[in-house]
Amino acid sequence: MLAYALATGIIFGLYFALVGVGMNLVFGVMRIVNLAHGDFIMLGALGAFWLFRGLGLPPSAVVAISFAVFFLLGLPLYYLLVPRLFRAAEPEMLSLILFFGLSQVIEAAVAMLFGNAERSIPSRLLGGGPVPLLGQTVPFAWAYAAGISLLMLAGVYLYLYQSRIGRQTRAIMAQREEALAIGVDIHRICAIAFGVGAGLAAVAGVFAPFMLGSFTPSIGIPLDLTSFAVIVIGSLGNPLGTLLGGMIFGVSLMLMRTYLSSFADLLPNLVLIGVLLVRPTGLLGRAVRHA
Amino acid sequence: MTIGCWLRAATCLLFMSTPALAADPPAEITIGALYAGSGQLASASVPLHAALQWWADGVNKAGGVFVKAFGKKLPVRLISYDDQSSPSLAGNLTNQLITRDKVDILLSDSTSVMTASAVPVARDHKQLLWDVTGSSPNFFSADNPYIVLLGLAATDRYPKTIADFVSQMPSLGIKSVALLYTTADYTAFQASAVRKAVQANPALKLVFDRGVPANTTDYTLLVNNVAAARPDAVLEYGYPANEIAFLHAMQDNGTKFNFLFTAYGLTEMALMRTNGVADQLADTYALASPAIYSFKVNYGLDRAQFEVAFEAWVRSHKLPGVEFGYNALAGYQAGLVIERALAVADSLDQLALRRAVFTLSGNLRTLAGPFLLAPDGSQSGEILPLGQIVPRKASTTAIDDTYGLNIVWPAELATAKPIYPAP
Amino acid sequence: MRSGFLRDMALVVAPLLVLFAVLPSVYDNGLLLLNFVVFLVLAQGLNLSYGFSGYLPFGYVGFFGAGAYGFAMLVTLAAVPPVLAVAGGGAAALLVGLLLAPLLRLQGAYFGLASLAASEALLHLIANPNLQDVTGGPYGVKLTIPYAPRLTYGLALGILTFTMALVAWLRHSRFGLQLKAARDNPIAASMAGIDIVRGRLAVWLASALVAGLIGAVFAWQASTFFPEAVFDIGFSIFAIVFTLFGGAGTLAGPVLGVLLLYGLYNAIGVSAPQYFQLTYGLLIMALVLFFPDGLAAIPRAWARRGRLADG
Repeated sequence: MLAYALATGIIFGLYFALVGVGMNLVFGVMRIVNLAHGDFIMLGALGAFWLFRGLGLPPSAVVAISFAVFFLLGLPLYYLLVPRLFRAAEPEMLSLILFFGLSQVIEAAVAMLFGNAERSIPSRLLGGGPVPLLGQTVPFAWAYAAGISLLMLAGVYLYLYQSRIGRQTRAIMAQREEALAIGVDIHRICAIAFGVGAGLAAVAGVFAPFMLGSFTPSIGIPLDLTSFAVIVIGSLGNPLGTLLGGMIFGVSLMLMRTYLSSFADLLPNLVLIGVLLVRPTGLLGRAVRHA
Repeated sequence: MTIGCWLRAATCLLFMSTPALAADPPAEITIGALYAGSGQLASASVPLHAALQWWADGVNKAGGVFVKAFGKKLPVRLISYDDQSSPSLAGNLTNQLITRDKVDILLSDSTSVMTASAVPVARDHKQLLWDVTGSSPNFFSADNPYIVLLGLAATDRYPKTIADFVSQMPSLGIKSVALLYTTADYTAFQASAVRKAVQANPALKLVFDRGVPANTTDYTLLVNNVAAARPDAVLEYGYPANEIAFLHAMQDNGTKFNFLFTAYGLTEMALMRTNGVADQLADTYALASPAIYSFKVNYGLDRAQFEVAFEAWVRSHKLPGVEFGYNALAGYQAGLVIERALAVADSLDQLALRRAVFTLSGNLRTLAGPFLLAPDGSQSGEILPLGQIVPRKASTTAIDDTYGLNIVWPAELATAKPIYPAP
Repeated sequence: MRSGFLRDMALVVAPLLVLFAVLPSVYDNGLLLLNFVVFLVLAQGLNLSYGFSGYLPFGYVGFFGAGAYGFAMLVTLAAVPPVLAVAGGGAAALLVGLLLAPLLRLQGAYFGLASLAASEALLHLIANPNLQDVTGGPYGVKLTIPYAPRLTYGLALGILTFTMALVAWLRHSRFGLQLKAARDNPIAASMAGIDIVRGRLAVWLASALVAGLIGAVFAWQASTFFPEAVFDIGFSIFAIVFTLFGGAGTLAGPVLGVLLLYGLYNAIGVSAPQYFQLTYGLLIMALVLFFPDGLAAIPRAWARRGRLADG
């Protein structure tokens, strides 16, 4: 039972990492807290619902289309919202308000157009039966989601560390002013990062109905809370730390669910606080102090 | 621009709201209602509110509702606000309905969490709260006449059927029981009644007893853990989102239990069907909610008539995501009780309305079952029978084209014996 | 210093109090007025922490909930008189604030999110069925003390006065000015040799205390409630939005933020319920995009424009 709880914790951890990584990328590059991230995930789930059930597309196509569409939607959204933010005195804090507003708008619009009832997607649309694991089984959808999550995180690594755009992105993450000084086109790079963040959220959304059982327009804020925990444990602004954060979150959740289920919501929060008290900038954070 | 100026501008907003109503004789009966148009409680609240609108529409098309106090039919006007699943906002808006809109009839939002914020406000303003589904025993006390529960039996009476049935389990060959529930007011209360019944029976063993947070939606690990305990019978209490996830997890892992009881299986069957888990409910047990079980009525439409009429109205109004189920039925039930009460109340005075509602107790039978009130205003009539969902046959009550229902408990209502173990 | 404090009290606090003391006699949605005062206290309480030490706790509602439950437990389990129990609610929040004091080592968003985790943890602890005998667990709280809307409203106004006086005092005292200097420029302040750590702890605890006090009043007024009602993250989000938009560190800013944004919120809720969430979301976005520096900056911008026009 222990081994099985650990294994499912890791599978879920991979998925939680995918849930959080988009928000973390946006925070790392732009220093803005995207409270609408959970709503992007919800929109991704809604899109997948339509692509799977309406058009009957295969899962790989749904993942690719979701990422592409949300990446392309993210670009104009960036230019519409974010540059104005940076004219303010405290963009990081102001972003909270702006994206809270956006999150409200998205939730309201979806509820009006599609209703509030729970929706889910039958797992058989992903194909495959139960996958044996340590003498028990896990749904095929879990294995598939974990695999895609790993693939996406690997993609984020390649994007950040193996491409020219990625080098510029990391330059902005490290020192925005210096990056500007050496001639990096900040808005172009940031817009791409914002688009990638939205695309990653959409892919997380594709699997949300399978991993979360069902979804409604109001799952945005709970998903934000999960994302916060995952990315803070791993370190803000460090997209790869998210992987570690996701694992720790997933394993502690599943252990609690196995042994002390009514406290299952308590432990991940305590883990977060504990990690930060030992390492104030998360497990993979650099020891920078501003004060 | 001075600060005072800003203050004035901002506070002006407070006064922009709603005209006062004419007193006597009224041009219409005003009914105030709250619903959660967004947030976690929206999926339960929206269908209920839609059914209220459907009812008000129908009443007005028929020339209004007969009000004995004025000896004539009056149109009804529904004044509804969206509380966004926020209890503190619901308090404000309830107060708005009472003090600004001066509604004749005040309805609470569905669910106990939202009703809680209306109870003290209504009591303070000596306004009767027509409590639609807020069934927490916390709301009812002998010294508060300003509340009456219309639908659902109070939470503490609800689990009686299943607790009684537990005593029959050993005779079916059930020796071990697993209990899985979400730790919310409504579900935890029922689970604790079952726990007591199991522990009181020496022939039964509780092999699994877990509460999970109400926001739990991935049940695979839990289903595996339940299966690992090898129980003969599994009782699962959750809200619809939990149950959908629970049934999905069983489906994904190909898990089957010899005896499975679910809290919402028969309550929101249409929702289960659109979520593709209705087939998982074959051979399982659930309380025969009025959404499935047709009670004999002496007033209003019966279940089947209501389902047809409501679904047609929903389609013609293009309301996305609204489905027939217990919540919709509870909205209609509220309308029916209002109709009957206005037909016998001597005046629109709040306590006169309460007296009128109490005259219905024991006399009114609607699609939600017999209407029976306890002196504190809580509902005790609707004790639901236990049903088993089986393949549809001539002898069963039809649920849909594929499935039918056997009533298995209590003995005086039973139409068949439980089929155990499930085939 | 003294004159500045008195000026703030006379020009901002006194008119606000008079306004809210008179309103109940001309406007009968008393609960809405109480909730205005609740948000005024929460906004100013958050202002104490964020405006003077730069710590923005996303989980500020944790103190509010701790106060509500501290109050409810004292009243139901120990039969403490309600007015005294309100103070007890404040003490409960103070205790939580002390427990969370180590979080002050964290910075920026880390601090904000850690405090959010703490408030969620507290909620899940209180709502746990294993604690049913102590907190009521998921079944919620039912108070049997008399419902006293006038008294609770009066208490809320008292707490508001206390909170705003604290902010006004910090704005003009040496202690407050040094803290604010440290917030805006940590290096210069540390050279000036003031004890920033102790100062930050002091405003943090003050911020916790007032949230707990008003949480207790809210609980008294609510009388029957479930854990998720007093730990609703909406309280945190609204308090943050109102404070930041009004202008942190000022006295009038958060007041204007609450009156304008919470006023509009309720006005939209009543006048356009079917488009409530959509309209309010769009409104907030528009305000941020067109007034990125908040309400406090608008008079300044107008003054500048006026000068340009004159010149």
